[in-house]
Amino acid sequence: MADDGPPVTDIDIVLMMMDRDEEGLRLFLEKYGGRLKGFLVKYYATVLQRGELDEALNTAVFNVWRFADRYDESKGSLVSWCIRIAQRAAQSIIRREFGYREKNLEYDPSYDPAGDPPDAREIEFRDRSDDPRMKVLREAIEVLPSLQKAIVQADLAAGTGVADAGRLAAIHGTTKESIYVSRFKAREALRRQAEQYERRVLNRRSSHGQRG
Amino acid sequence: MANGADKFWEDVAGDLARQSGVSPLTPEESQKEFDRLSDVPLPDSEIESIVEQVTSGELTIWTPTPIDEETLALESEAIEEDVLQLNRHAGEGDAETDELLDELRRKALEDEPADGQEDETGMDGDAEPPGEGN
Repeated sequence: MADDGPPVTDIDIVLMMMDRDEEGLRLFLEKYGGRLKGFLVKYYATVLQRGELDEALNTAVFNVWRFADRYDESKGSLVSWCIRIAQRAAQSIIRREFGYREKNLEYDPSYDPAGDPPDAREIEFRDRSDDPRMKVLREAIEVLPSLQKAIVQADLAAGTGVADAGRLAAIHGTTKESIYVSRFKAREALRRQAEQYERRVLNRRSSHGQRG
Repeated sequence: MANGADKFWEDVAGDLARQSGVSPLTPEESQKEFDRLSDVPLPDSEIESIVEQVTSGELTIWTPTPIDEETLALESEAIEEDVLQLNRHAGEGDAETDELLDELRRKALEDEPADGQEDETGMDGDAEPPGEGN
């Protein structure tokens, strides 16, 4: 029986990629490529075009390859690092931010390929998973006119910030100005929906209080 | 200065993104996400295509193409009609429908990618996630 030797670990793969060994890249893609692609399709197929999904996967793998030496095992598994790099690649396309492709990033020791965009704002997340207003808003997004819905979905998928208006204009055959106006209209419509919902809740409470 | 609509959006966008699964993931969240994904390996041809692009550093940059929403709507109407025809009761005999079915089968066998772009990298770019491997 042939001895296949010890199994190849993630660290072996990282070391091979650091040595610019193509076999390491192949092993990485055989082991994790399918799920990286699955992740991008699952969350970004509605906002990225087919070719852009390919681009996001290629860019993510490119960054895993060239920044393999920055993988820090103490901060999580290789796959969790790669999923964040893939998410970052998708967001960069939606935001049309090209800085991440620059070659000189290799010489910037502080650059984190899985990190937030350079202009990311700190967002404080509150746990509003039980907030019924969120459900109302998700339903309201679904029934927005198609262009407004596409803009809102792209803005959400862009991570921190907004989706690039030029890219959206090219896809939807319109102008950047039209994207700005539609974005405003969509946000205004969602705000009204939330206000109406809050008013209904208040009315219900006050009528309940009067009865009590 | 942000107007009321933008302020409202800033207040809710983070939570909406989080609930849609598209907010920036923490290492723990991305690990969980990975564990939930089904493992459908990439075909060898796709792996080779990616290896070539990555090692050469020459990535294909995609230029967004306009979607024709009107055509999509018309296509979807036509598809709905075809679906009704395909799902008719098995016992009914209908020469016109049989003819349509034959035509649809012929077309399905002849279909080629329309834009010629999706095969450049060897990725099929399905709109759905990889299958669950039933």
